Amino acid sequence: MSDSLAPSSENDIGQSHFDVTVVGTGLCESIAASALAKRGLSVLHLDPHEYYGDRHASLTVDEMVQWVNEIQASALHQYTAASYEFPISEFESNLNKVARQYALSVFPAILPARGDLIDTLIAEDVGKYVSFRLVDGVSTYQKPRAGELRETARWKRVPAGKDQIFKDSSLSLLDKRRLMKFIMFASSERSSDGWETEPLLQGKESQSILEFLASTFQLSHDLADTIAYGIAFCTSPTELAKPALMRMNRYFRSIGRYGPSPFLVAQYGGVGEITQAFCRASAVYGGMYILGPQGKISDFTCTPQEKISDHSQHAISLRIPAHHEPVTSDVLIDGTGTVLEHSSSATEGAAKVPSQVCCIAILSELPSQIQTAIAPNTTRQDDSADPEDSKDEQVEENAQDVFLMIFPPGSVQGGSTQAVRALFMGSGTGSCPAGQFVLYLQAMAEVDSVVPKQTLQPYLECLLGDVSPLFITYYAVKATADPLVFSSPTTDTPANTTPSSSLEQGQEELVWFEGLDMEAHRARELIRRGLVATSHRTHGVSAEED
Amino acid sequence: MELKSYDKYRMSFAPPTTSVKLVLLGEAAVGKSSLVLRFVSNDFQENKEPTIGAAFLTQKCTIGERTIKYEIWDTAGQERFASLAPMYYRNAQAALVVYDITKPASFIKARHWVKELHEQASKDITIALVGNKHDLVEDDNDGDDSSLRKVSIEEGQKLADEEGLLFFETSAKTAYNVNEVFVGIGSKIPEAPLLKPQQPQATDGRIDLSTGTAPAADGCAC
Repeated sequence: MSDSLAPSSENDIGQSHFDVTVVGTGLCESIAASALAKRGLSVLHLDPHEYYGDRHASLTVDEMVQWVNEIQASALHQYTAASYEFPISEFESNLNKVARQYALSVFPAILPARGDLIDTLIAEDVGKYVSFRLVDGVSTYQKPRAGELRETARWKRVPAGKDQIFKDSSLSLLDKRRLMKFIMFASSERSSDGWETEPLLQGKESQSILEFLASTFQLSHDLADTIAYGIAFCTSPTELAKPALMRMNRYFRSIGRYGPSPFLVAQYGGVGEITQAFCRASAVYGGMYILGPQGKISDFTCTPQEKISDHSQHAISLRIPAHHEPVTSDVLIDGTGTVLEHSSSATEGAAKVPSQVCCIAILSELPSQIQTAIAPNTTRQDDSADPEDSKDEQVEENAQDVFLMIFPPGSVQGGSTQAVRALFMGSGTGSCPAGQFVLYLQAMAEVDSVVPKQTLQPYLECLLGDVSPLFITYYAVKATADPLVFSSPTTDTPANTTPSSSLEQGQEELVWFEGLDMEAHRARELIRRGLVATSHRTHGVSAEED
Repeated sequence: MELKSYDKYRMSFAPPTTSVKLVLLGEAAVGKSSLVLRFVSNDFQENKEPTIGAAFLTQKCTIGERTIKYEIWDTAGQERFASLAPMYYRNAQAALVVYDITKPASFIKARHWVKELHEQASKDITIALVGNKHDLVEDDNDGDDSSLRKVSIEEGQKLADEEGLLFFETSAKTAYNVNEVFVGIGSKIPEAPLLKPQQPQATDGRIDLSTGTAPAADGCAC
């Protein structure tokens, strides 16, 4: 390395032109930054925050507190109604010693083993930076029937595959046969428009998935519920059959790719690690990273093509405190919606109403309700089981680090009319110290009033019993707007990332199931636009997608 | 690199290899990449360009009966504007904090990185403090005022003692002490507890995404 490469003064980043400037380190921007850097373009990647990930960040507890404060000060336009509590005051007073042992995801999501993001991670060879683990299981909560004892175990483990259905002693032989027939139907491979021509769906376009399961496969009410909420992750009983079947198809096809579970999560706080991995990949290919106030943009201008007089001129010009003169670019990708403060499209693109409410709690003990939920179904057929089987079950009992708990609509008194889900993570995920747990709760926002605590508290009470969390935060999230792409031919327009057909319906409801793949999908469009905008300068870099 | 297949062949007979993630830290131009290049390929390039294109380099190191496979992560320049991702430190079992013994500012920066590691990295990380560019001072006579050396061995050793670090002065250019750094770290890395034999889901639960073509667990053809 020669000395000339070191910054010669405090505010000199060494170069004043980058082919691409990316603002925000959310997932799709980071994927785009990595892909564009890998294809030989010079990339400047900025984030006004001090941490990576933007809306997909994993934060330490002290960062989380600051994040909530920023929301309360209306500095983060994608969030609202945020609050935090330290029910155990000793935890708060010791915070500076322990805060960094936590990685809390502001976007808790699961990653199906088949989909756009997994494909991107493999294609861009970024998966090697991240440790993934399987989700250990899914349980649904069953409302006690009238006359039933309160003590009855109310958690139903969702069978993750055919072998688990066989072992499930709570199912009758007839149920098993019907369920198996349904799984054969739902899991068979088809093209993306295969569902349009599916004979069993003809004339049932307006049927809900629950009606469809009952009428077409004669599944019992309980089984249909388990399938609709525990496998298709429907949020409401009225959800239509087709989108639910499409999700189930992915669920079943994801089983077995990396193990018995169809879902993965990234260690150390989930998607935040994935965004960091893409940023690292981008840096490895020469991308420059400036986080925090040093990279905060001012004096942004975007010159339309007809006004560009000669080829040495660039469409984008901006200033950042880190550099002494204006930085130019051919294209700017803004995932934060903050580059143009009064941009009309930025405000149009961003939803005004929150779409979901979330809660994150840190627990220092395992509440009995959660213990029940994550315990495997008690099966009494061990006598006939061969040694292989019992080994499997033992593994299952030990693995309780990542678990999904689903509350179907109306299953908790005073709760939501939609399904609510809880994602539970133990210290094995690296997101909290040993002996502690992180619990994420998510629900659709109520239409009339958005008070995350009001919506989620009944569920939290149900799960925690008398266990008091160390820390708890509530917040409401608005729908993610598409990133803005600024370049000379097409100025100031949203990236127009029309979702693929599988995401048409109810995309926001299932942001935690398909949200990560949506980001990979958005990134593809950003990469295409980035390559188009720079193609006249970078001979040899093809605008075609790989 | 031709060694690879031979290594693989040898590995199947050798005791299990301990895989160690090692991260590099230090001011720009102190010779981080050169040290690694020297260790990995016994090579040195006079005017090496800043690191581009290497995700991480791997190199095996045999210490007595043990073989340690280093997975060496470079900062990729992300430290320049204090934007090194927390991910960089995750699971790192070893770190090299490198400074240039002819540049006092790089030693101050090294102190900063040691502090950062204590805060960000796992508690049992093995850290080596490395004063590089020893070749520039090796002809010095003691007490020569015109020496290029600006950070004394004593200063380096003192910081290492205070913070519980290994300490070496090296030259990536002449290869002086370079292997010693990695052998020294390797002998301080605790032996990994022998876990269950390799499963598709590796010992630490880490899944290799690219190998996810394992037959479905529910392979039953009923």
